Amino acid sequence: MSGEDRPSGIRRLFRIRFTLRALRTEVSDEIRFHIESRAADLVERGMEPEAARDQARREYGDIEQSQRELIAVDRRRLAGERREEILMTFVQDLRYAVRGLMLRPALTGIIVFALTVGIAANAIMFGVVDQLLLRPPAGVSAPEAVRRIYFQEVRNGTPFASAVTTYRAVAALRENVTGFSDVAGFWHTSFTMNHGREARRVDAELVSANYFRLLGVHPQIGRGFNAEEDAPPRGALVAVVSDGFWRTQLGERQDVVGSRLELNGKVFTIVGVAPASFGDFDRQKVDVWVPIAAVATELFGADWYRKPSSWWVSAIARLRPDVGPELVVNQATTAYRREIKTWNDNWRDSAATVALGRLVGARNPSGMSPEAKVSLWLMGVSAIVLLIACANVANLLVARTLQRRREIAIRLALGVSRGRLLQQLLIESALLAALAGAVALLVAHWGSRLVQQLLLPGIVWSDNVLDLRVLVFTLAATVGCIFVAGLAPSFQGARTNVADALKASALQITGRSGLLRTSLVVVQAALSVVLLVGAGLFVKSLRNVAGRDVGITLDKVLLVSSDLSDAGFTSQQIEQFYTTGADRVRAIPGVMGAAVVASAVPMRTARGITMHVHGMEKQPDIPGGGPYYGIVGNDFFSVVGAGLRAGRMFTPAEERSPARVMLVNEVVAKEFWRGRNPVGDCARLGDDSTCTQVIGVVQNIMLFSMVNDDRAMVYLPPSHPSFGRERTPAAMLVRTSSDPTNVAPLVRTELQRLSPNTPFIEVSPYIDLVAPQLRPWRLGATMFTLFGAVALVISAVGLYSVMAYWVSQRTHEIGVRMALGARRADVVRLVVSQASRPIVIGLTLGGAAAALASRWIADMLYETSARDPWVYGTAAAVLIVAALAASVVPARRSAAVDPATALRAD
Amino acid sequence: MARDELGLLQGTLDLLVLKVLAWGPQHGYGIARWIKDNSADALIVEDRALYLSLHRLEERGWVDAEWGLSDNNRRAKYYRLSATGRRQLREKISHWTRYAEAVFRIIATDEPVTP
Repeated sequence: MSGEDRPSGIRRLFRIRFTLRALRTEVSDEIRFHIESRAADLVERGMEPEAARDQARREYGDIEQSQRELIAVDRRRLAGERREEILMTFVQDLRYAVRGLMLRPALTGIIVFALTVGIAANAIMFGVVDQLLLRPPAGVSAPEAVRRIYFQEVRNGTPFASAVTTYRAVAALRENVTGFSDVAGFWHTSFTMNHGREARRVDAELVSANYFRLLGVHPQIGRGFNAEEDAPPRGALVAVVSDGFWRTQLGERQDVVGSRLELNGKVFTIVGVAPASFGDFDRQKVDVWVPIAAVATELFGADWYRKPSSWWVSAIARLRPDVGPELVVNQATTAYRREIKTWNDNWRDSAATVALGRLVGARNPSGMSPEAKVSLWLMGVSAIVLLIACANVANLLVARTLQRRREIAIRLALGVSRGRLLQQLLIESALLAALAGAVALLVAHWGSRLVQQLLLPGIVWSDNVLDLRVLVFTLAATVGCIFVAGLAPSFQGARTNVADALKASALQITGRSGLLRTSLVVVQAALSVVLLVGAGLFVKSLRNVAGRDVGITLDKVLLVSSDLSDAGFTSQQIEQFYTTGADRVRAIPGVMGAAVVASAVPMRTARGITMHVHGMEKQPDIPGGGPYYGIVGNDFFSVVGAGLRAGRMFTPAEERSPARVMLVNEVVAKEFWRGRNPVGDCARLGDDSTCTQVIGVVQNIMLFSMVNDDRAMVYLPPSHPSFGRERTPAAMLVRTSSDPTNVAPLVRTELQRLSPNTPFIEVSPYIDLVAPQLRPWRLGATMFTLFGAVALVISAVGLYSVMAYWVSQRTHEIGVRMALGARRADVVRLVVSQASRPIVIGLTLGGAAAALASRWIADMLYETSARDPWVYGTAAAVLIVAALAASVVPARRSAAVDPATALRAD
Repeated sequence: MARDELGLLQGTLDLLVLKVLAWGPQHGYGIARWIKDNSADALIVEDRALYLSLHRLEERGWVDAEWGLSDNNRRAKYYRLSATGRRQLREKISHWTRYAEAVFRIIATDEPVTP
């Protein structure tokens, strides 16, 4: 059938059926010809026609069968031919596309670059989100059946969900809830490894013996814990180390089982090594696991497994496969409530419920982790950037298609079908996207590590950053790009009107394509505005938070603390340590002052107390709780840099001899004295029968958080008769004259020398301690600014290409205008006004979109309105500047037009 | 006919068909007649097998087919040897000749050659 014309266009779709019928006809025709020819020969030999026919038929054999055989062979042949043809056209189109792209390397380069940036950013962020939110921690088997247990109560009218409970409650859940096949407890903390100069801090997790078994985690070396090793009251001193710890600290020794490890002054025996990449559920780093019973007595007291007031443990459970989740929740709630009743605790909510959350994922009762929230935002931002990149690429492709109109028209006139043309244009887009996708995978591979370390440190990431899911995602993103960026230009190219395109003058621009390109610029501008607004809002929030007066000069104060009581120091020894230590530290050059603090250590601890002011019936309801009390000297306030608002500080006499005086902070003054001056008033603290006199009001000093942390605080001198007993220091604060990071090692060395048995001494600048709190805003500011800048560049390039083309199309018209008397300035104004139209529309749309979308990030901002006019104004100004920069070159070019040449040109 | 005999015949039939077409394009009936006449009626080709062979050769691309008019102005499907077919014919002839010589050598000797 080689001579048959190939039907083009739509008829091709029906070719199969059409050809099948033709096949049958042909085969039967061929057989009929044979039989008739044979019959004719027989007739020539003298046979009767009828008999000859029958004879010929009989000689042939089973005609039906033969037809079937022959048709089968022919169908195979046709299918093979069709496959070859498709392949050939595809290869042809591919070659053509490659040649076309190589002819315009600059354009190809820009397109591939834009797409690569977009796809890579999305692949990286998807990888991050996948690990944080979608993928369960490594090594856990059947993670869908594992649940985290949360306890929901109503306190002071607000619902409150917590993952923390008592050991007794966990035991109650394990024994009484048949819907759980197993329940295990865990608690994340830190230990001191070794002592003295070699002391190090390690991240530890206290777990029940069945923890590893419940999760289905099999240690790569050795074993987990036995039930006897975790039996109350005292378990066995055994430990399982993490893969990372085994690699870095233990030299990857195969014989590590049985070796010794000193933790908090006690000697543990290593019994196993956890599998790689296994941390805790939030992917926080864990170096070592020990049974709860091994250290609980030291941490929580002898009654730790019976005390109802000790809240520290969290729990996970594995569901039985055949039990419904609602039933299990009911069982758990019943068991929990029964347990609560045994505590005789009045202010426990007896209507508390148990909620079950998944092992990973966003919608847990205690909300998403801040890292996860930020990552989701970053994914959204990456998606926006990809959209912008695709819009830009679409724009550039449309421009290129317009430039190739003549070539396309000629091909159409020569007989190429429009379908084939469309296919060929799409293959070009696909090739670009495939190139970009391949490069993006490489970039994502390197970039992921960078992003993970820089933006979200402290998380245990899986080793293989690029895995199947990310690959599939990248593929999907690439295909999506092809459709978004390539479809419109390809369709437009395939619709080229041959007659129009072949006309000599190239003055006409099809109105539709001009509109398409302009609207693409509008889209890009709008999306850029959205990103810029986001950047501005986060930057403003960051500055507001970082610049807030929290009562501590964060960049000049160090926190010095150590787990001395865990190491066996008595209260006397601890006091001695800190007092002597403070003297030594004050002698270090660069140190302005050192203060020893008991309780109310910012970022560490605080103890609460009740306070009765004369004339008040009940305790005011303060959001932060409290009041909390600290036992400090005057040096505390000078070291942190907090100011006195009213009254006076302690006198030296009050600091030493017994005196019932106290300082209160502004929150206390407002809540307890309702704006009256508390100085001189007397209030009773706790169970104290004699009242304590207020001598002054100090500034609010942050306790745990830089924002929303106004707590009621009172400060007592160490000489206070009733509470001075609790003056065992918990920490030392050091003020430096310059950068605290330079002084910190000196402080540490000095203190470590005090005693050979000192455990690890932690010396941290406060600026580092609060850094995680700033991270969400810092992250938001960095990413939005970065992506916003990229988006802006891409949009500027898009605008430039549109304007350049516009000017090149209008050369003739500009020549006419100039010949008629227009000045260069007028021409430039013409160009700029043309460029400004899509920008202005884009600004408006983008501003509106940002105003709408900012509702979602409003709760992540700090003291910044989501509609802050300064931010929007700045974003608009930045976009306008970028647009002007993009229009400069085309404007110049338009002004440089020589009227004579222009009028002569096409 | 027994199955394997048909199979064997099929291979030889391809060779014959290709050789016949080497003389020029022909339709199926013409090929059948030619083989019958030029083998002195010794080789009788089953029509069904012949056409199956022809279609398979077309599928493999060793022959090309075209509809044309026969001597008595009737529409007939003509087959023509393709370049690949020509090459295949040469190889098959050489192979077949060697095969036949080897067989003949053994069955034609009266006495075995002592090793």
